[in-house]
Amino acid sequence: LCQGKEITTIEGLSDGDTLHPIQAAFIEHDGFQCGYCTSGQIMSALAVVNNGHAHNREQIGELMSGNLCRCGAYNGIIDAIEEVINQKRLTR
Amino acid sequence: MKPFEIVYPKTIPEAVRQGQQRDSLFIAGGTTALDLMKYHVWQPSIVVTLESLSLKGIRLENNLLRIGAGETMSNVAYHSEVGQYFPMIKESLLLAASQGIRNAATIGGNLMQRTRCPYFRDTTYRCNQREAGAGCDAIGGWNRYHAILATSPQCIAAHASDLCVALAALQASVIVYGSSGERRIAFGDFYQLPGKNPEELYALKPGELILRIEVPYSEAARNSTYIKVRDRNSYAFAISSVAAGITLSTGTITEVKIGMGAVATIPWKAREAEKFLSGKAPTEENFREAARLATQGAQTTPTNAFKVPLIQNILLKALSKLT
Repeated sequence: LCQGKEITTIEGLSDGDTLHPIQAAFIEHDGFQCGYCTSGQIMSALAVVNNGHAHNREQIGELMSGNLCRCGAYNGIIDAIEEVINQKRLTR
Repeated sequence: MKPFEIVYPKTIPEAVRQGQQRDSLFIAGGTTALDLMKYHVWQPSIVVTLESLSLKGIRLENNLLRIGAGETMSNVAYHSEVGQYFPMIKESLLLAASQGIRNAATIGGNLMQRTRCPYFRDTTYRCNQREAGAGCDAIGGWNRYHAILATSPQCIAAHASDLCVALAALQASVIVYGSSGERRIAFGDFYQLPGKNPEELYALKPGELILRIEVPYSEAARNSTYIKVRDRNSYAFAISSVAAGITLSTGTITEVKIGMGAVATIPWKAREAEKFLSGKAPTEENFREAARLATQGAQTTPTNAFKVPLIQNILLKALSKLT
């Protein structure tokens, strides 16, 4: 199961007061309203960005599927992830 | 959840010995086992984890694809040779579950997952798969998702896997290890029809562990697809699905492989339809006849009869797409 594995939670993302680029992008694009689902959304987004299988908005949506947002911030969430993926592409 | 002991065997024979103990349960990704434990459907005393065993590896050699039982659905789906030579396997995996689940769930676990029949998963109802001889509340109950083929008066629960539909079509083998060593089970023999004993779903002996699956390559595997229809467009089980592969030679179908999902109690190979299409021209008329043969003898209920035209149309769509 998770024996011997390293686990990163939302608390482990920022570098002191400097937010992780995904966290910053969620703020920039209003990727949340009430914030209840945000930790899970951001951790899933991190996996989506790192795994490198999402190349467009449709794929981002599919790979984020299963993370429900009752406020309906989906468009903002996808905007944020798309921006980080594009940034990553530019700096690679 | 009932308290249990968790053990970490280091070798396959040790895992088999522990798996032979009363009320033991193998666990790999845990994505379905934990749910069933929380619902009290499974109440193991000993949980045998498989993570320390070497059940990994995806290799295509000598026209045979070998996939370790411990590989995750994601690893297999994104493997370049799987995508190139076995598109129906890739598509069936990526249309299943969610990415979080696919990253943890294993291929062995996918084969061993239990039905999504709500009466199986809710212990306040009767279910012959959960408890031998208990009765079935799905028959005469809410059964829109249930099987129309290979049903019995004891059980109409549909098999839920997407991957297994492709494996049935491609005639995979399941390589297992037990107290008398390694043996090979043809995919068509791995699941048992729900006749008198629906609780005996698998051809596995106590403690037998899945090591890997083997899938033979063919031109029909390369020219293949998986089409899935579900109530919502993501993260949902199939209402009906088709895995199909076709080889054409000078306007004739020389080889055809068809699996159908969510319509039968076990992963279903449409042998009658395959037999009919072999040697025929890839015409709509022939595809329609194949679709009719594929659903011949369907046993429907008022709420799942829609699956007959639905699976016929999906099959027609898949065959047209490939020709």
